[in-house]
Amino acid sequence: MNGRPTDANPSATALDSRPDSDADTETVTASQSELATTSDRPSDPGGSPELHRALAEVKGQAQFLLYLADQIEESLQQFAEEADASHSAFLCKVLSMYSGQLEVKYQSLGERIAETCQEVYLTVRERDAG
Amino acid sequence: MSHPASTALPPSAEVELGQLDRLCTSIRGKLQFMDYLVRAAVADVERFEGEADPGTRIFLRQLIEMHASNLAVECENMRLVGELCGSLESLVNSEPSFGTEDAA
Repeated sequence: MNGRPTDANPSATALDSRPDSDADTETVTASQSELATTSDRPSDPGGSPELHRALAEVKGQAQFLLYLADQIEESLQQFAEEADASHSAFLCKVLSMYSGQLEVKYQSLGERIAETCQEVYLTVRERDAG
Repeated sequence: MSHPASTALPPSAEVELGQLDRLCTSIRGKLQFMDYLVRAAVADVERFEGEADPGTRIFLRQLIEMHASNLAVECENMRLVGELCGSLESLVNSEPSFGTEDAA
């Protein structure tokens, strides 16, 4: 970053949201190919498709909150060092947007987590009963 | 004040200039913010289209929604400012005096 969010890449591409994604993919691919050689059964991801969708939702929303917190931290640092008034005004707007989103999305993530945990609980209970 | 007596502005004019300066700063900041939002939204849509992971797609969707909704609000504000400017201009033009007679 050069201290100017407009000059730097302003999008999520600036944030590597999945630092270990390549390593994870390799691991999963390796284990899946090993299973394929020992058994022709497709690997069971465990849990219903709804549960997996809910988990993806939680991960995506959590990633978003982390991104917002990172951006707030970075923008605050720039704001403290900024001498140009118009750029300070810009940073105020950016900070206002990020903090507003953080406040709103934090609540919706909490609700989503509660729903997902309930789904997990029901899945485990069904397995135990069966 | 550091202004020489001959060029010193009356207090009311200084206040107006200060307000104008603040207004200009605010407008520049707003335009910079809109530019940022447009760039971010376009870059995130490009990444969204190439993303396969469901979690990351949800993350990117949230980002795009945030940038787009803020851009819509900013555009609406700009439209209102434009309407205000138009109203002020028509108000001034409807007045027959204020320099037009002097200039003629």
